[in-house]
Amino acid sequence: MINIKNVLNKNFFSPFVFLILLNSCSSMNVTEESVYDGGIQTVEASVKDNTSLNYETKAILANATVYFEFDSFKLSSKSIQTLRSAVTAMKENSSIKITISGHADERGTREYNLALGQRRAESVRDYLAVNGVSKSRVLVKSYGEERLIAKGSDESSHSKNRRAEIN
Amino acid sequence: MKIFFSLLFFTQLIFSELVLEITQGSEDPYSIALIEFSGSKKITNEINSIINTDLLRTGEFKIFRESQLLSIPTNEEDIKFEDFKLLGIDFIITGSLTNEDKFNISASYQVFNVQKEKKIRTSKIFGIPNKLRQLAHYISDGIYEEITGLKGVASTKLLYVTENINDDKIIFNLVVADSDGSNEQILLKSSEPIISPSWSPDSKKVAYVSFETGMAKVFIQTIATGKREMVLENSSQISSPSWSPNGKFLSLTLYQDGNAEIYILNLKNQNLTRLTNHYAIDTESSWSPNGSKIMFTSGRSGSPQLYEINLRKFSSKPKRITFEGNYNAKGSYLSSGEGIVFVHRSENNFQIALKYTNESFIRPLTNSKLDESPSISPNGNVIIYAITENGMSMLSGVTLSGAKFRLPARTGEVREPSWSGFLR
Amino acid sequence: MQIKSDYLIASFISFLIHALIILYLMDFFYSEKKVRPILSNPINVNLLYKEDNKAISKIEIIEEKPSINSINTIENIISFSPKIESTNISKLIREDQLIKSSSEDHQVNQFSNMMIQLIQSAWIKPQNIQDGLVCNLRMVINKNGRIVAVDLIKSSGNIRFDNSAIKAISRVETFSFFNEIPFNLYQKNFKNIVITFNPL
Repeated sequence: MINIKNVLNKNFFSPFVFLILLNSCSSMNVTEESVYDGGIQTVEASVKDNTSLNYETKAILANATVYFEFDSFKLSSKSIQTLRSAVTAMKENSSIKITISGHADERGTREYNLALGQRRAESVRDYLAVNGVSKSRVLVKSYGEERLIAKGSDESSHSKNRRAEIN
Repeated sequence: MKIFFSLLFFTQLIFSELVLEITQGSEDPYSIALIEFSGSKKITNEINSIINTDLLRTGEFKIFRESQLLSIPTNEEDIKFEDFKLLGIDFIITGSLTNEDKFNISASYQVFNVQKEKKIRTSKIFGIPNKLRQLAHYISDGIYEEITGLKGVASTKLLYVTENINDDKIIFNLVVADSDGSNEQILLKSSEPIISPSWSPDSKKVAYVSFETGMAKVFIQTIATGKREMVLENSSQISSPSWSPNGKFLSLTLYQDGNAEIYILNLKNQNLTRLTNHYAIDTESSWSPNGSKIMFTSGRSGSPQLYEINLRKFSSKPKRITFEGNYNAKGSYLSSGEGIVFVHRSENNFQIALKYTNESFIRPLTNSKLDESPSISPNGNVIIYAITENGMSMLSGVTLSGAKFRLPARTGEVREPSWSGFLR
Repeated sequence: MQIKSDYLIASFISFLIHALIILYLMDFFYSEKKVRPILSNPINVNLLYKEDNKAISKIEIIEEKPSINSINTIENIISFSPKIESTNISKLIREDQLIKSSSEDHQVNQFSNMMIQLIQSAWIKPQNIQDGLVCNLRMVINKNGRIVAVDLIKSSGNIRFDNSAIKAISRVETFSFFNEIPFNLYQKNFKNIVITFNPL
């Protein structure tokens, strides 16, 4: 047993000595590496289908898209006028639940635009709430700049994208 | 059947693969001679080509190939240094394939300093046949490190989102690729948008925002297994995930308080801690390299600006850190902590800018119209971002020393890049 | 008995390794380093080079000072001539020394300025670098003005900045005017130089 131990000791030393000698005889960089490249699995996302409203109400509400200024979520008087018909439609059909989605134009960062779209949608919801439409009937979400309606990079395209839609 | 499947696979590969274009080098490159590696031509040609591209992309090298040299050494003792000095070459790279069989492939390479007329590095890389590109990237990194003293990023990975139209349907893919845009592998396919992808600190997981459930929700996915989980399933909209440097926390933007606020989620026990409390938009959080601070974008001063919270002085108010211009967002820290990189609006153009902590002025790094989502390489020297031209977005990169490159997709659009950590 | 000899061999190898490590650290194996310290005595010269143009950098050449040896020789001379009035001679010798060193200083200044010029014009400032970075390099130059070695002895903390300083020196390669420098002056001041890269 002791013999084996000593043999091991000798073997342990020799590569060590070799490396030291190798290193000490030059200022050269000596390295060894193994390539690691892990595998990757692909996942497919299953998209949920949104429930749809009856067609009439949908038509009224679809026209209730309101628009905003750059970096703003304030409702203009024109927007308020547009929303009046939506309020009426909601009051007439008290069972209807709607989703308001907020959007932004493509300029600026995506996350900030996501938050901006959210504020825009919330402005609409708050207006509806003030006018008697319970918040529990309104779902609010944002698509930021991910659902651009107008693709150009001029101001007229940008202004079409800064919106809140009712679905 | 076999042919059909392989064709399918092939077309998928070129579906939206990125093409690397190098548009500008830095002002003061090293001149190096890249001697063709010895070994089976099919393999060495590819290795040499990848090394050439990797090194050119750093912008730090002017590369001489064999046809431009006065003499070509056949082995180490054989190098006529005078011939290289005449051409102004500073370093010589030689190499060879040392083992090549069905399961293993290995290469060794040497770096010579022409001025000192001696070998300064000899390295060996062990790899496997179908990971040849990664083997070549390891060699490029070794060469880069030996000559510049900086750690190389050729062997790191990029994460980004592609958008393509397929049969009138829009498909979004979350993709992982090599740092040169090749070797694309799809992590997630969806018909709804994917944004804000972000690597975990150990580069084994990614967090991202997906709209697949009908609204913005954050998912964490393990790369190797594809296993994923939704963060805070029972809450409403969540976005802007950012990992803490120790991988234990995720900072997020929640919308439940009536406006975007930043929270920190403890990934182990799912505890949520609120970080911001202001009626303005607070989002785009990102952690400092030592985990003591979080930077975020806030609209509280009237327009988006960058703010910083010291996590160790929790109760104190966030400190504003950008004062130039009326739009500063999506900030991230340099790995040295010496400064930040962010999106800055100048006149009507959104550009990527750098600001050192001990300086008061902003240094623009890009000069186009709609640049966004900058991500810094782990060596702190290269910034990749998305650029929009003619309505199409593609990836572009700029190094601190001024070298530029582009990664446009062959088809469709690319955006939201995120750079992995070191993988070696 | 066998056990003991094995231990002996093991401890001998261990001694070898330690000896090699120590010798390596003492640069025993380097052939170039034989050029180091013994003969040349660099002197301390602080050169502040003011430029109006902000783009041009300021480079200081700082060299180490040993004037101890010269003082010793003076004292040696004085002790060798006891009969003559020591004060006069020592005064004369000191004056002589002063004149010699002032003209030497002037020469050193002149040549150092030329070196600074060359290095400055060869330096390409890296982009996106913070101000106020400083690094120290050591150069070994042979009599013909050829820069034999360049080493970074103190980093600025920024690798790209350090690299740019080394590149500038490598680009200069040779100071052609070194042939004009008298050998003694070269040995004393210009063989081993420490440069501080401190651009404005």
